[in-house]
Amino acid sequence: MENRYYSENISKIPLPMLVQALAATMPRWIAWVLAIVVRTVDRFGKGLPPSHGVGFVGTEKVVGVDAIPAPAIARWAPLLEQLRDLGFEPIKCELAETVGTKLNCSTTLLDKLGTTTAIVEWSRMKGSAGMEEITPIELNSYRENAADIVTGIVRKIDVPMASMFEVDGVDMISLENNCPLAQRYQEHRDRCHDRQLMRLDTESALKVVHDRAQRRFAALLKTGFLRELTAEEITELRNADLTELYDF
Amino acid sequence: MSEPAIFTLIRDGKRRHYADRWASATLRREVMWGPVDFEAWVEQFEQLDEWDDCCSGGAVVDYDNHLLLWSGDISSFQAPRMWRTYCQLMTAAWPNFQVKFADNGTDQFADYLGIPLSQEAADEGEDDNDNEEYEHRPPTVVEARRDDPDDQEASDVDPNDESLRAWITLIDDDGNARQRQLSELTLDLLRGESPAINALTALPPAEIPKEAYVSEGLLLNPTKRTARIWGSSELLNRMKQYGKLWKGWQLKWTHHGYADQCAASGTKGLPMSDIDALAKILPLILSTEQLNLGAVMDALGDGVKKFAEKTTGCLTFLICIPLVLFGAFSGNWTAVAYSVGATIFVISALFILVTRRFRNAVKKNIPQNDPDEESTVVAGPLEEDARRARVNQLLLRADLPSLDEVEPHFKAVSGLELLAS
Repeated sequence: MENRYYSENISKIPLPMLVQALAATMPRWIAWVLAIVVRTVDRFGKGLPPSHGVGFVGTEKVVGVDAIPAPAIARWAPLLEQLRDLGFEPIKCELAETVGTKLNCSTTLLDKLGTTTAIVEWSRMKGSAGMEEITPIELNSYRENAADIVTGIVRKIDVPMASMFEVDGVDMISLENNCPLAQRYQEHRDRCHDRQLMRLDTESALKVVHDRAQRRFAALLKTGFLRELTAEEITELRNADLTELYDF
Repeated sequence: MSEPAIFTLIRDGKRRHYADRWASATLRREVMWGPVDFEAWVEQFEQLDEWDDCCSGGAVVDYDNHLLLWSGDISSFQAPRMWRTYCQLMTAAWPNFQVKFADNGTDQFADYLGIPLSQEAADEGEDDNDNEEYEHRPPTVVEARRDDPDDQEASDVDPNDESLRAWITLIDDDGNARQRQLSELTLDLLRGESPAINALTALPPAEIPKEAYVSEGLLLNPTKRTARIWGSSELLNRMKQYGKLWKGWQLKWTHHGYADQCAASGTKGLPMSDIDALAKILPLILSTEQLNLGAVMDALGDGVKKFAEKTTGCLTFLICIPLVLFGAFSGNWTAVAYSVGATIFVISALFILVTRRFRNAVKKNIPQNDPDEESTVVAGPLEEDARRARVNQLLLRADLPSLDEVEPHFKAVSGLELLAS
């Protein structure tokens, strides 16, 4: 069976949020004009074609560190060093199943207490100024029968987008990646204070991480922020020129 | 404003000296065409009765002993990988010759020629030695930080930062690699001082840089007390002096520093390929553009013109906004179209008039070239096809990828930007 791929649905992003995201790279008034043009064109069914798609949770490949692209290892070096100093231990590395102009991989780490996982991602994709690489981090503390506590650590321009990912079962905030991870980890621990958290070992952590990823992906599909790509779109993305994507 | 160079050609024991006011800036291109073309290129310059040391570069070519000793602007080859590829090309371009780069410039030329330096040059050299304050390397690790500890925004990685840096890998007690970056390796670090290593450990962790952006590196294992260092010939000379200060350490110079540091970090890193290096070297080699006062003035003029064009465009846009608003309220779009057209026409005419007057005024007041100076040509064939063919032969001899493979990776640069590349 052919793989199914999914991409962000720009028409579902609230206009002020779209403006805020665009304003990070251009004057606000131009961002407003551009956002309105994008939204209007999208209304008439002439929206921007997707530049990439990702597979559903479960299609990713669990790999050894050797299989992770060198630029990801290079970008992760300072993050993993800090997480290691905070007592985090790596439990898995994954390569996401993607189509089109996007590469994505991640590594999951578990802290000594077994209450928090850190998911460090690396994505390389087309941005406003050519290829761009981002390394968002997600600190997750899981709870039985209550919303998980999630702290995203992202670029300044991505902070406003965090509210898009606030789905059922997730209590999420996003913070800028402009200070040491120890400070952000402490802020996450403060959010967890007085709350009953699941204590995990490596095996149970892997299961919970997979389960939650599946649940959140499905929730984003339900809200419409993610949409399934059509067969034509997938074919087009498969035929795209990916020279620049792999030109590290 | 000049880049003077002095040349000495030695053939059958006879020395001929030549000088040019601009040749030092792009000498790295001219030497690449080999001994025959280089001699022809040098012979077009003014011949001197005697050697002169008032220059910023030049060359001594001893055809009898098959030696090229040269010095010029090589600031674009500060990444050791780039320099290695350039030297590979030079070895192929000067077969049977010993090719040496003179780190000390004219001092080394004078030394080879057995000519004492002029009093002025000798005084200058002494001043340099006496002046203890002159030292291009930062004294301490703290002063060579690449981030600003007071600037919160600075910790955001700039993916477009292509500046050269020193890369340091520290192996901790558990055998884990910790990456650090500095603008340069500092004096306290080169002397192996313990506080410097502690200061380094306390710096914020850094990424593993691309090989193209690394000018020098250090792989330190304080537990095993081993250190490997690599970089420029200037650093090598300095370490010959400082090496003895690393008491109790096993300090080694390495020619594969980037690969060593990557291996210690458990990754293959982002090495620079021959194609990447050649894509930065060959555009200048292929070009026939010259650096002179005219080229500098042209570049300045282009910059001013682009700024003026942008400013005029913005001004036109701002003037047209009220007209469009008038159209939106009145509905009289025909009048708006005529008004906007007339405004654009008037502003364009004024822009052309003002730029012509400005250009004429500049031409009258600043000479484009020294009238006494004869125009010179670059070394090697002047026709594009012939240059390309020669470069391809050179690449083949140097066992490097062909021009067809490298050319798609060229950056679109011209003028002064190309001459500086």
